[in-house]
Amino acid sequence: MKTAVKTPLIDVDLHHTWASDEAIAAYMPAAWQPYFTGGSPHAPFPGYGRAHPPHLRFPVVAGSGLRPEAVPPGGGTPGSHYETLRDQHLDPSGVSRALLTWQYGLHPALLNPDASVALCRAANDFLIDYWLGQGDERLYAAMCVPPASPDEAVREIERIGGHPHVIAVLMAANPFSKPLGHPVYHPILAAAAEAGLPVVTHVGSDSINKGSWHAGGLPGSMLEYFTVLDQPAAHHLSSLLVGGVFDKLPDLRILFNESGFTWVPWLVWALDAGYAELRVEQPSLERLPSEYFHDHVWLSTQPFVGDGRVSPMIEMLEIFGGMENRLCYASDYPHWDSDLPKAVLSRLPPAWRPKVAYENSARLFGWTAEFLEPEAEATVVSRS
Amino acid sequence: MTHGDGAIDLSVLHSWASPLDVFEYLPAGWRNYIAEHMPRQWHDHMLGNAPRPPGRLVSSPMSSDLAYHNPLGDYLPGSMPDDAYAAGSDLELLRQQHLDAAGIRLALLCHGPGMLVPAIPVPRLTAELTRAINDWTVDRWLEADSRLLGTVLVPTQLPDVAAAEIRRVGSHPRMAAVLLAANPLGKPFGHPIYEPIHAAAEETGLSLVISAGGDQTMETSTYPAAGGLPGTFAEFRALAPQALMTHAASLIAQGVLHRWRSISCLLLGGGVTWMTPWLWRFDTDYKAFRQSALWLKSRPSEVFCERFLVGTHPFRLGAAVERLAAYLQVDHDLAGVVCYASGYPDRDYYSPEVVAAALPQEWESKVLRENALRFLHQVPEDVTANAAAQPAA
Repeated sequence: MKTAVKTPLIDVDLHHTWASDEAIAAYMPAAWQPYFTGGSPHAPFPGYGRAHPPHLRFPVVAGSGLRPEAVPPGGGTPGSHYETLRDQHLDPSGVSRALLTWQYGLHPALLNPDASVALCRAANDFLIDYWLGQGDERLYAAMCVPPASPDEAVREIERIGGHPHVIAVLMAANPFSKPLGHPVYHPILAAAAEAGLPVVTHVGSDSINKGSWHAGGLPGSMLEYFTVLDQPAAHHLSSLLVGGVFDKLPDLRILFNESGFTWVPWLVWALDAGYAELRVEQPSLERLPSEYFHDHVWLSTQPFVGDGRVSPMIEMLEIFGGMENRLCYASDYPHWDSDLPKAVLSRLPPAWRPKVAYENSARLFGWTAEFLEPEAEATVVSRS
Repeated sequence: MTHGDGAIDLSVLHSWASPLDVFEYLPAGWRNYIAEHMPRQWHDHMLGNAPRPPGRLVSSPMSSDLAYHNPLGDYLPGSMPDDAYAAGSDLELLRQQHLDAAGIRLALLCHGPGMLVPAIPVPRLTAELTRAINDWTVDRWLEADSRLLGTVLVPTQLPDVAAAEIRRVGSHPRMAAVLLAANPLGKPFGHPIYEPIHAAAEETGLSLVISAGGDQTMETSTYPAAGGLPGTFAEFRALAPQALMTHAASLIAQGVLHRWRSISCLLLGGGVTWMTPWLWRFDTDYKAFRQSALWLKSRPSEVFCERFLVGTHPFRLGAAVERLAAYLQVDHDLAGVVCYASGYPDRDYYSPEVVAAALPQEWESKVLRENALRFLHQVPEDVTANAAAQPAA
């Protein structure tokens, strides 16, 4: 890869899924199949039926949050067909490696917790069989775990986490309405760290199952909803930074997907400013919140907001410092607001581009040998 | 003389020294109701049958312990009088520690513990208590020091009653705004359920003050931060801007500020660093979801900069304070948005001098005076004239 003429590109947020309720149920024990194939007369897409938790009902422009052209030629939901995804995104965007992060599997926190366990097992088996079985060496994936059953989640990590192309654990649902650093989730974080797998969060984690996805009251429109969409991520990050989990699990790495990143400076500054209080509230905390941030946390670039005016955003990030080492390119294909690599990378300072395109992701996933020059690797070592 | 002299402070969190101070302003029937829900000795005292018991009265229907406390102490050292219910309850201390010491010309009283009274789950009790607190504020504070301005506390769960209260007490020349903080209905303050409050504010010329922290009581269904309840005070305070974002987005996107042309809004309790990235997000999302707000004629960030002020409290930045001036200037015209708010007697109190020194130098007169005067547009000139004048040499 080092010798390739073309700049490598790692895409850390690519949404794949199954084509129908029947397609995922086929990976389940017979006893569970009727539950998932019972269907729903109101499912907006095939496969969106019983395997998806209750969600918000804001009117959606054009009736879908997914790109209409991403519907596979034979029908079905966007992201459910390998060749379509390859032809529309992997090949034309020049993706070297991609992290598959699920569409319907994003939120395996069904109101029935045992059904969530069955769904996650089936989803991971389907992932390995259909997606990782395509023989496309670019495809890697985050596994699903049932977050409402931490013990079962640990078992699933032990069962599947050793697959060479399963390289992360997706924790994108918050069934307990507790921030991610809360001890209820520590067994899952610990098992991921033990297996050497980063934990990937995703926006929307709290917007299902009557979750606490907004502060201050229920927004009244899609516009308001989106302006506060990244609020849970800020709280998940704060709880990780002040809750001591990185002291307990020094190998834990976290990737925030699709949650934006421009809110990081004010949050991390405010937490550092509260350090005197934190020494009383979390006496075991050893370092400043910002120090844990720069060592353990990555964020993807989606959504790359800035209202088209990117230079103030870069200026802000430079005032904060160090964000060029934390950001990872993400396409978010096939969501309606997905970002093409050129639209993101060409707007970054030239020195940031290789970092965001692949270097930071390579460090996150331990791909330093394949993607980084030896000097760059040395920099990583000296950082910690 | 320091360069903070003559500043206008848009957030002093005043309180009663004893709940009895406020109960005096209740009608007899409600005084009986209150007495029935108090410890025996205080019950007898309140009904005139016994001398005042020694010590503090803590347990009353107006009490609410907070879910989050600063572990180093909630208050500015020295601001808590002996036997008082809360700091911010002694006018003399307010003068010594803040108004006189910092040369404050005008200070807006924004309610400490009173802020949470509208969330008490007994609807009619909140109507009576807020009315009593407003009368107490006029009598004991506004009439006692000409530098003080008031905010009308309203029963937010009874919007029609709230509107009547705004019209009743809002006519006082030094009542400058309506305080919206406690959120018992669980809706952002731009929701149409609050239309009577919006209309009354417009009619009386009062501005709206929206304060973070109104979601922390157990009676509200809303969260002070997304993603669950914060586990620490440090996080509660760091994430305080989130509720302000939700309310501000609501007021803009629901068309409240389009319909009511003279209302301006002051956001308190979240500091000033959250605005820039949030406005980027808002403008970007507006491109995708303009169907949500067809009445908007300009970008949300432009509406925000025109109609909103954001107070500096809590001004907690730690080592990042040196980068604040550059940070605030990367985009938007925030010089007209940021305004001095001390938060006295909160532990995160900062004098106007300290705040001005951390901001861009050319912002000083706007942040300390001019922006506040724009917000206080309906306060009679004889009240604000003092403040508009340049500080004496």
